Amino acid sequence: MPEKPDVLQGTLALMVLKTLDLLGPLHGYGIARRIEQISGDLLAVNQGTLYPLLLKLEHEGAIVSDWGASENNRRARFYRLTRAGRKQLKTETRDWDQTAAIISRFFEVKAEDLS
Amino acid sequence: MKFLRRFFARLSNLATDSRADQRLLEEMEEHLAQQTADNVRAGMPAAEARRQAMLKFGAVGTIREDYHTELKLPFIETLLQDLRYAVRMLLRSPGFSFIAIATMALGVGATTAIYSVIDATLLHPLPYPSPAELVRIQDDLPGVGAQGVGISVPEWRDLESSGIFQSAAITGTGANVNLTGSAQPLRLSFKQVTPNYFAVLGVDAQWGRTFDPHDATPGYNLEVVISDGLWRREFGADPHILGKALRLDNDVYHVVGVMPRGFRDQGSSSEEQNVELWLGAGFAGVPFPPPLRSSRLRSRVVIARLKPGLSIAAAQAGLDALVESLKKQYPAEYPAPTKWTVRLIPLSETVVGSVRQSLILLFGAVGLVLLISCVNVANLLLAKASGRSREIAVRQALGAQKNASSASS
Repeated sequence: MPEKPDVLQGTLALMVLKTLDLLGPLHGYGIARRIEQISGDLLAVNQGTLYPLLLKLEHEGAIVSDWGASENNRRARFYRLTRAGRKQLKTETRDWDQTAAIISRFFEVKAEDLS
Repeated sequence: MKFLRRFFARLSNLATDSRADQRLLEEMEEHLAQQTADNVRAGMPAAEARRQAMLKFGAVGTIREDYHTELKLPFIETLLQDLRYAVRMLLRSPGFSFIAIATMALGVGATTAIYSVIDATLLHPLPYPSPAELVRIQDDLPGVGAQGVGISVPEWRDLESSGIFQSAAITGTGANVNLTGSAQPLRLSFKQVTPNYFAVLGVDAQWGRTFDPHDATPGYNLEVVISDGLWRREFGADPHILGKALRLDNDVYHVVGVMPRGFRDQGSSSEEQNVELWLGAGFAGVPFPPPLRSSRLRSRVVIARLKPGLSIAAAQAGLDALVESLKKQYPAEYPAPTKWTVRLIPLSETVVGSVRQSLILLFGAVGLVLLISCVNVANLLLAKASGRSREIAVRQALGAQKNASSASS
């Protein structure tokens, strides 16, 4: 079985924010599954690491959480993006795009372009 | 902003000691249940489904620890834990604690006490503006083995007009006088000073004025300046004190000023520094002897303020020249065998005097005492620590982290 890449903390936070932005309030398992789904099973998140991260985002005010009922009618904690979280997502997306653009330019460049 | 918000959220968790860990357990349980259900739906047997769910979730211990770290401020938490531990250890062996604390306290206390003396005397000896300009002037007759013979009024006038000093003042060294006529008679310490005395020190009154420096009254000018302490203690901080008549040894003086709170007079004894009355006098008329060069004012001191920027050595050179010319001018008054000289001494020297050496020595000594007490306590701790090596080994064997066990050792 090929090894799946670890997810860096920063990108994981960005993924969580984006997922919540797309799908609205979700519980922890839901977030983990969506991230797995979207990444095409490439990112087997050490799923438990999601919870300390969610707590951190909550402390920072990017998300809020509340108890609710899950699909099979059990008590689950639902996370929801706040206005501050949406703003954070916007800036982080921009930063990510910039970084990615720079890196891809480095990959595309050929020796003759620089002569 | 984000950081602060997070910090305060964690701090409030720490303070309220909320059991949010419970929330993680519940969420974990729910997470695993859902994953297991999904796995079963995918066709796994129940036991295998549960196992796979747990594998996917990751190491529960680490996650709980990370969660806890994020929940509270681990740094402060460990600090509190260590403090509690320290107090417990101190209480467990009160004898040891008492000796260690007493040793340190003695060392620190002695050093602090001596330092405060040094601070007051060596570092800030004179509480006046530009204290480096202040000098004491001493007349010696080394030819006949006499020191500090006092100055005569004509010599003082020569000093004043010599151009070396901004001004020079004659002052008594403190004596006692009876204050009568108030509610109860008092015995107070006073100094007779020439009217320019406060101008030399560079201090003004907080109420009223000091003496007029150009006052040329030959005897007492019947004005008195009082200290803030006397004003508050005996006159109840009376705002109408100015102009009040005081009967001092049956002579009537009028109060012209009150010195500021915290003003301390110069002088070598604490009695001199705590003078409460200053009487203005010219030292040249009744009740003083007539101003002749031969009548030296014994037990009087001359203090002066040098011209700005003039060094003591340069001033002394100018003064020596003045003395030589006076000797030529009045050969009868200054017979050659007496070898009359006038010496300038920094005023700070008169406050510190001969104790400078012994103070520094004493400070060195108490410094060493502090060092010794530190070494002693270190030794005691070392002896105790080696006795606890078993306990520390057990702690480490039970899985204490390296830094945690050293903090509690």
